[in-house]
Amino acid sequence: MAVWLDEVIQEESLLYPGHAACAGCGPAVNMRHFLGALRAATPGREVVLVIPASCWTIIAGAWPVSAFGVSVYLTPFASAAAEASGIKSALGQRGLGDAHVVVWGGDGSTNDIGFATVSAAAERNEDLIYVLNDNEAYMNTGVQKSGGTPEGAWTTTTPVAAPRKGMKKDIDRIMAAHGIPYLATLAAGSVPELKDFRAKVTRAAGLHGFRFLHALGACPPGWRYPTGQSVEIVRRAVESRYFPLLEVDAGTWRITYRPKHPLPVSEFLGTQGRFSHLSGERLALVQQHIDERWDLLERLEAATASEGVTK
Amino acid sequence: MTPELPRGRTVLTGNEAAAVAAVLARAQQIACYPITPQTLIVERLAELVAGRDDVVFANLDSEHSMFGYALAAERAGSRCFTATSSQGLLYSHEQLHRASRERIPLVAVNVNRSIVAPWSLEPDLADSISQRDTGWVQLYCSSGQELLDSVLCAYRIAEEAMLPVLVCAEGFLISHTAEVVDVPSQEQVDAFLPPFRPPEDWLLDPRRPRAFSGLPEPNDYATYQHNVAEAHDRTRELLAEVAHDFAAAFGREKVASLEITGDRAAETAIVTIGTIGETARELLTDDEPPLVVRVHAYRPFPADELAAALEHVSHVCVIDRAPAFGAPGALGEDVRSCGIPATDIVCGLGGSDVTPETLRAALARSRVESPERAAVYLVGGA
Amino acid sequence: MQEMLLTGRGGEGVVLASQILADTFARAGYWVQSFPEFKAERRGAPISAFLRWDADEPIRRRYKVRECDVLVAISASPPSARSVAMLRPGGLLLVNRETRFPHRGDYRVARVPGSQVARRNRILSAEGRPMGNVAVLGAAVRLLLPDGLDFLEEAVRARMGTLAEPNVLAAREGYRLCTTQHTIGSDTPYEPAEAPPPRPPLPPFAVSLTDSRVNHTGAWSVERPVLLEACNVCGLCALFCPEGAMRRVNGAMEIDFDYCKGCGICEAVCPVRNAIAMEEVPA
Repeated sequence: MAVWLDEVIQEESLLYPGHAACAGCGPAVNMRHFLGALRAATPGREVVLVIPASCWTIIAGAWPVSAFGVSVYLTPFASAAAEASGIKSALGQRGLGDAHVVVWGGDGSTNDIGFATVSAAAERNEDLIYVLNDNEAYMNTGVQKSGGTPEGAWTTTTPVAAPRKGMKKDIDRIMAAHGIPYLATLAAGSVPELKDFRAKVTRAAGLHGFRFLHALGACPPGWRYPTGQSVEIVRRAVESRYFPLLEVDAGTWRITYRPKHPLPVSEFLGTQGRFSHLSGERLALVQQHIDERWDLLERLEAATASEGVTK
Repeated sequence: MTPELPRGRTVLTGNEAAAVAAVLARAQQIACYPITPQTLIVERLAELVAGRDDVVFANLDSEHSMFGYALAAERAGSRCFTATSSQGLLYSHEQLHRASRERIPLVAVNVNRSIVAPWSLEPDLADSISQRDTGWVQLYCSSGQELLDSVLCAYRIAEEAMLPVLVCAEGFLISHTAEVVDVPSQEQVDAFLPPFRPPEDWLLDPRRPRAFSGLPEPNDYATYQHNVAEAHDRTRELLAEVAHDFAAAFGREKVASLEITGDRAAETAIVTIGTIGETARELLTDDEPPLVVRVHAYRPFPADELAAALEHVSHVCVIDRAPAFGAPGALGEDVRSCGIPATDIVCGLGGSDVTPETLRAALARSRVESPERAAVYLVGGA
Repeated sequence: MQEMLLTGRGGEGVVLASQILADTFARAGYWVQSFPEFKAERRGAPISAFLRWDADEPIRRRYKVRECDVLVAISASPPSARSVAMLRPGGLLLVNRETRFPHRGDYRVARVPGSQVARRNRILSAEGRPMGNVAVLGAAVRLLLPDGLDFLEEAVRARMGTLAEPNVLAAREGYRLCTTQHTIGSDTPYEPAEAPPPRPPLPPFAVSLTDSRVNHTGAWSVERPVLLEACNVCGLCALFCPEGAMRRVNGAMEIDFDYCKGCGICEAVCPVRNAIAMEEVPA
């Protein structure tokens, strides 16, 4: 571990200090490692980040400042995947097609307003890396429910008296159904998770076509917990199987980490104010849904083990 | 097999003329989403560029995505073309605003079609007229030839002014009408229109990592809007310059902003836009012929030129081919803003035919209406 | 008409405080107006709200407060030089702080241990920080509307729902513990720590000209980490720092306080006992 860690912490961060993320921003940790791993995997390749309306529109920097050591193109909410396709194609026409074009889109943009466009870019198998920066609600506007908001969660538009019904959209299965070359979930809650995270980014960097990376990012103001807990909460999300670490490589599903002694999901939910009203039957139902999804993933892994179900 | 481009004096529909113009302009990216009555443009383009490795034809999932794709590709250095109509233009509304404010020299054709509800496939100008405040240069055509010529000029205008240009042509009346169109050669077009070389401090270049369009403070934001307005002001002269160059390059006149026909000493003038301008010319043989003014460049609006043209006219009748709700019609309001008292007649909505008789009725009606009245509708086959 | 600037950090209830105080003045029969500074709010980033009140006439002014009669600093850290510069001569500066505001200037200073009161009444943010906003309002009412404590309590009850009761207690304590001083202990004139860099001329296109390292976001922090002797320089803190503010240099960890926002992730992920601790940022 020491060598790996030494190398990683020596990397120059392509997300510069002085960025405008909230204190303790989980997605900022993800961004640092995503860009770091991408650059490490393909040192000679430039990066263009395409960012739809989100917290990252602000974090990217108020003019005349940029918070990034890579190009950043800000787009309207719904069109990032289409715009990234346009950029990739145009760069190709200029002989610069080697650059990675990356969408960094939130759960609102990806699950909701930009969904048709994300789906279309995947269906066209555009040569893009699409990162779903999932903090499970519209955080930039102040915590409203999105298609990525989990069952039972409080948001300002699903108040405690009328909390979120139904489960968050299973975007992993939806995107995998497009038959894209690579899909993976990413979490940065511990050193092993981070190794898995960066290995998946490395794998994605070496492939072509539409690669979908789903990164869980903890949000202190939106999830309601002390800022220092952003990493530990993500670790618990993985250990409780709330957020399974998986990949779908050429149609083959693989669970990349199996908690030996899975935590009850309450050990994850209980860390956050957004779930503080959940107990009894409702909590049990969430646990049941988490278990059912895990079983489904096990079956998908088993079913696709020998050969890809899709190409 | 890529079909050959038509060449010289040939019969084309307006949609075909627009498609041919985009190819002649060496558009490198064509962003496509179908909508009637524009669809034939992208269909024809798909055929014309199939198999060419210097042109990308991109099928998108909506007009919003289509404009997004084209704007971003343009920002990354490719000359782009796209086309739409009606609901499609409206669906891309936020992209239109952003195009001008981001100073993206995209050229798009809008084949004018009325807006739901109720549904109609037929032309009026409500779709693009209602986008007048999005900061695009808007050119309205009255024939297939003018549509082809305007698309070629649009690239010069867009890329010199760093503003997007919308070339508008009425559905069916132009888009589906086959007529004689003189198609220039590629060599002629290449001599007129240089390759796209955007400013380095604007271009998205991954080798120079920078952030684009990050939030400035309010006063800087305001200055950026002012910059767009100033670019529009400069474009008035540019339109004339490009029309002049066009005539020199192709040996054919090109309207810059206004087409003025008839006697400038006439008592009455009829001011209109699009194909109605052609119909109005039939009134020039009447006993008391009006001065006919056709607005080609609607944005930037040629206010000084219009005021000069109407200097000696005592009665001005404006024909708006778009509904006006709770205010004068858009063209009527623009004419009045030049200090010209004008009666505003709304007609030709949803494909209602506009004939010389319609225009004579409009003129007669305008003489009995107060010029202060908002908009006078001539509807129901009147 | 009187004008007030309230300053603090995203998440401290600055905007809510301005609304509660507006409500308080309104209940006392004043015309009021309260509004936030319009910008994207970030947890921990500086934020302002404004309040106007007038005994006689409705307030028709619709632009930001440019000069104020009262400056209320909700944060435990001192107000910025730019905010202090907005105070009219002889104005009132109310500071949420146990320590004095140690600078000379043409203003009166009052103080209230707002954070302490909040801690005592267990009024904590979701992140576990004391929310001193209402305690500070108690002090503001004592200074500006001495007969208005009942109105403040009513306003708190009307606007804070289930959180009202501890905040009513905090308002009373703030009212009681407010102290004023007319002489300033230090002769240090209050001067901006550093002048803002000259703004570059506006280029034709809104493309960035520099990078975010010019933003010293460390100023957002309320707490900050301190490295202790047990630190074995494992580097885990640097691995998970969202700011990239921790580095290993010459066999020791180094924290860049220009950028550390004091989130505490480093402390939480540290595997060694007594290697890192959070402390309040010194004034």
